[in-house]
Amino acid sequence: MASAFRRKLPDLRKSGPLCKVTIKPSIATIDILKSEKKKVPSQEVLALIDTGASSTAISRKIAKKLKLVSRGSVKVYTSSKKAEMRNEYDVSLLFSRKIHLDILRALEANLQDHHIDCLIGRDILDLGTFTYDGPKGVFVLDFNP
Amino acid sequence: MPTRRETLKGCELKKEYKTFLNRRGQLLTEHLNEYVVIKDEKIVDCCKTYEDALKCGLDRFGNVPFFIRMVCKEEEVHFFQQGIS
Repeated sequence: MASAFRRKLPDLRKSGPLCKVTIKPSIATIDILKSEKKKVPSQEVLALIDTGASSTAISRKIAKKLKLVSRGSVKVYTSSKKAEMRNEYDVSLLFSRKIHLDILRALEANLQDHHIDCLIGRDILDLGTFTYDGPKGVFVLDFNP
Repeated sequence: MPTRRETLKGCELKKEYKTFLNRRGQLLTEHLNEYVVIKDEKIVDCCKTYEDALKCGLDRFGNVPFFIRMVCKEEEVHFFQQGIS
């Protein structure tokens, strides 16, 4: 995996650091699907890089579309401060042809009131350096700082 | 066990999660910081990494639901500032 992912947005403050990512099952699950001669599901979605999220989350709609299979139940706290249990999935994420993360854990989230299908959390940010340049309207996610 | 304020509604792996909670004491003693793989009410294996645990479950059962969790002294929780419930 190499290089940085850079985006300039016309109104970064309003939109937040949005980017298109492609979500698939993890590489380990893809190997099983291929061995069973099944089609590998893939979906490009709009994601928000969210430093307030401890983990990466994907919408229920996308989890269903990708036919993701649950690998766990985890406790989630949101701004409502109420704990809920959520399904956890193994996924892979592609920011670009060169930047792909092969095995990630993503939680299921109800994002229907948002215009996004994925929150990029600090679990992914932990792997690199995230830079937000307000005056330039640019953000960079560099996995090789 | 989940408290009254928590609910397992919507979670596919309720049985496995309960197995994890019931066996947590033993797991903490024998497999601290390892990733446990649970299917139904059975502990299948404990692995050093999430990737190993995932491959263990896939090799054993195929692409069906099974439970993976790191055995930690404190329960793993996740926080979101956004309202995602």
